[in-house]
Amino acid sequence: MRGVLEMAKYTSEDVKRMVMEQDVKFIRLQFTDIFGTLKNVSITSDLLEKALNNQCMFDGSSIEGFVRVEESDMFLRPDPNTFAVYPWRAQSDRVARMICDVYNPDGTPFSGDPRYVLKKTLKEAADLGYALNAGPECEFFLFQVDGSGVPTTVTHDNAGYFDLGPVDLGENARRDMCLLLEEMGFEIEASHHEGAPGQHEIDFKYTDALETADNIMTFKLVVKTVAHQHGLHASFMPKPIAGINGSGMHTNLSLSKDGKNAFYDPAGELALSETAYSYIAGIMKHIKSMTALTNPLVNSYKRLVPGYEAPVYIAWSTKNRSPLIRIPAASGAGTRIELRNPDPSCNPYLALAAMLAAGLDGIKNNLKPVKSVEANIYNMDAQERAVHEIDSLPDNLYEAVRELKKSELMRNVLGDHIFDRYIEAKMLEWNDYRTKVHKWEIEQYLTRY
Amino acid sequence: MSRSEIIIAAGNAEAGNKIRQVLIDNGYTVTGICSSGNEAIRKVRTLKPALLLANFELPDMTGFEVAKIIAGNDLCSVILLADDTQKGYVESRARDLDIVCLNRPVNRALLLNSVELTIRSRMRIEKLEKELNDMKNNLETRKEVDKAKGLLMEKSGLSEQEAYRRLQKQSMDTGISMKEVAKIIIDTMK
Repeated sequence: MRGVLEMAKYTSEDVKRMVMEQDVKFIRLQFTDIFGTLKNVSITSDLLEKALNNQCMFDGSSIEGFVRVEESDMFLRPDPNTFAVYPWRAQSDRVARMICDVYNPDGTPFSGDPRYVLKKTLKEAADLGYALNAGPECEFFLFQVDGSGVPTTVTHDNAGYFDLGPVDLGENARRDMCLLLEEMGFEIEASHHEGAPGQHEIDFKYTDALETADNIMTFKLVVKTVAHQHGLHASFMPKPIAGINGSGMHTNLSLSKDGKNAFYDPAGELALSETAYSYIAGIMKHIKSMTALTNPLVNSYKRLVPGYEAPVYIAWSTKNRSPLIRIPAASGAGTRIELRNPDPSCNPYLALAAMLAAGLDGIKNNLKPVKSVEANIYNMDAQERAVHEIDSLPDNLYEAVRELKKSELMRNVLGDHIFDRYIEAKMLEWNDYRTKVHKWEIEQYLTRY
Repeated sequence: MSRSEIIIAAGNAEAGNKIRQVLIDNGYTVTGICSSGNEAIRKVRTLKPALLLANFELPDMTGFEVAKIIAGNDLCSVILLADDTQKGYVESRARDLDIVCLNRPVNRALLLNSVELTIRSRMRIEKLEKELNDMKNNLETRKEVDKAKGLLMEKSGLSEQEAYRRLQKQSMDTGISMKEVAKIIIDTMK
């Protein structure tokens, strides 16, 4: 995709021409709130000129986590490079979108805009000569929708009542997803059925981090839309069903410097450079404080338990797939590290900013990681783990938020505005969960006591 | 009628069964009755009928939403049963999608006529599309073959007939189409 998009540097004029040529009637101006939800203002093509002149306004106080009522006017600045026509077949009018940055009325970037947070962090990296490449592996479930349109947790694989045809509905839906993503410029690297019934994974090619974050948002929209067109519901919830694998978003990370992969050093141990080792050390140092960003839901922590291919312990390895960080075998331009804890419910802008800032901190302070662990950590007891100096990820959202709250680095990355609001909202979420009586409690206790 | 399977989507089972009876009595095969839009989409995608007959009101989404998805992805033809206002709306928004709208209450004769007409015109369109594709393909084959022939004549000094014969023979020997053989020759001799 990188090649395609590097060529496709659109100007405002290009956008206007494409809108006219392709008979686009509506344009969605998209941005992401701090909790990773895609928001959009839809305008007709008549208002395109105004939008491209950054004159489109919206009421920021209506967006969760944005601003208070008295400072509600916000401006959207569309990024022409992100112009894309939606490839949906089932629409009467052609609709296109542009991803926007959010600005204050005085023309300064709005500090509550997650895209700005990532851009700011990328700028810091660029000042040190680095650019971040990221490639996500998004997993999701396809569920049936019941007769009144409400999604269930019944997967198509084992939904007996619909075992009529020879073709798997999910496979067809996934094929359509890949085709439409390709029409939108994605380069699909792999797509396959995942471990659990009804679970799928689609991987697209790595590219620079800002584009990857934009792509993740687009990806989720495409997957959900196509699922809907197949009478299914796509869910990126980290652990929708207890007892089977949850959905992760393993993220492949590498830095480049002067156009070369800065993680690759043919002379280094495992062909990894000092920079790569420091990056790993930085991530391991800050991982507890960034888990609230990479795994943002109460439910996220039900995925991070032993036995379901999700990481629990803070360690790295070249072979074993149980630790937090794995070094894939590819080397040279393909040298990278794979961070395995993020899940697809995260806000990709904030999560990638955190992953970058933590790594950069490792590089700046020349940190060295502890030794890699090649044994299966799940087979170790607490004592053995202590010998290997293996710590574990936060157990739940509450712990994760407490770790986040302690972190000066994360406050710097997110900025005060997002940092405070994020923590406040996540504590509310936790308290809401904590004070509710759950089905498990009724099942366990109601008759016994 | 070679392909006359029909799926019905109606929120109310009684109405669905009534329509089914009418269709069956007239020689059509009804492969499914669905009580929701999502179920209809899943069934159409799995069973690939010739036609979906859907009520405008369905419990989870409108019949028009379903129709746009089915017709937009070219899965089958759709007949929608709607009231006057709905019909006007559908007709103003359906554009070139393969959606036919009938006013409710619909009488037996009109329903049967519309079903027959829709299925037949779809079959005709599919046939024409196939012919068009074949023709496009033939034209391309001819272009490639001519080019390959030219190269063979120019670089190997064959006569036109010999060049054509060589292409034909290689295609027959290898089981690869003339077009592909021609492409390979163009790639290697250019």
